[in-house]
Amino acid sequence: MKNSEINFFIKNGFFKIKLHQNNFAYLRNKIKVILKKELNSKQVDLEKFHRKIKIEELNNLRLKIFKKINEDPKFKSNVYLSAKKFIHETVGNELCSSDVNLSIQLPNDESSLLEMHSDFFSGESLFQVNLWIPFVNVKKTQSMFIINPCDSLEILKKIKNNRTLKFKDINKKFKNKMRWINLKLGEAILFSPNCLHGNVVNLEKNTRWSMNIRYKNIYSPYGKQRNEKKIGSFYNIATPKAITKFNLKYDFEEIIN
Amino acid sequence: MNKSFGDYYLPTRFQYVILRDYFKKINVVFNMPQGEPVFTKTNIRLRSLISDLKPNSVLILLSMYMLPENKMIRNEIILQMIKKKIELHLIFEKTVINKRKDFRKINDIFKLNKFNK
Repeated sequence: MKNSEINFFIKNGFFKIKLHQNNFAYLRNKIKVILKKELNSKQVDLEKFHRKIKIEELNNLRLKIFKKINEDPKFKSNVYLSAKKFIHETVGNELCSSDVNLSIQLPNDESSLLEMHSDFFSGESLFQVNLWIPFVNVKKTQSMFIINPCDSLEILKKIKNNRTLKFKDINKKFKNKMRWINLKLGEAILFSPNCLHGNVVNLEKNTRWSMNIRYKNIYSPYGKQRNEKKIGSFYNIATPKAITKFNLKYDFEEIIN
Repeated sequence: MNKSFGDYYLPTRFQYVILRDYFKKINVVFNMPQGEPVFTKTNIRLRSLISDLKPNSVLILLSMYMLPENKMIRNEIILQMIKKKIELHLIFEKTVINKRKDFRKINDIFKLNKFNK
């Protein structure tokens, strides 16, 4: 990564990347194969998927696909390989990662919204990066929004201290701070989920298919909250290095503790 | 909820399992809820949710201890629910509340628990 790209990330909280073509093709194809099987159909058009399903059936289908992609070790490995060098540049190369989350947002569907939030709302680490990959071209409300770090902090202070403020007020007041991410097929973003982000009702013509996964360095700080957002329960060990494997094999730490 | 509520702590994925099962029992479509930010006690998510609810809606909480510990915020929320005639389902307490006097009982229980701390 060039210094200018790092500076862009620090200022805006995200940067765009081009995914490794073969790995991205594997991911998109896998989703389509699962979907064809579930729908018992020879052809699936991800963008026009809303013509094939009712909103009430969507979450069950999403959960089925979620389960299948997370059971497939090749899927997760292709996600990683598709953006490996950029992930290493942002959080290092000794990684743990979350499950792969899948999002399907049909046009005008109000039931699949992910309201403005930071991932540390739920006690996740401040030191993770989120890889967001759309499986269709995305623009405007079909995509996701992110708010830059300075504006996010201003809003977060209000959330922390104001006892009457509601999300509706925040969305209205800070609407112009939401930066919509336009991406073409094969592009993705890496972003700090400390920045406020989310989506709104998809007012475009096409369905959005996207996935996201968190990566963090095994040894960077975890959330301070006493909950399950820790290694083993939320983060899985992904790429441990030799010295970690060595110390996992031998109990030297028992001598000094 | 990504932190303890009352004497309970339950990882969110298991909270969803219980909620999904309850929604199925009462024949309502389950959509993944978003939790309260762990770093504040202002209950912004619950206040926002109740403010957006239409009159006569149903609100389902795993436990009454997901209501604010802060009495002032709790009373505001309870008042909103009474005004909107919201039916409150509390799964752990096996209780459905839709009358003003029953909403008041919630405060009594919070207070009694305080006596015993």
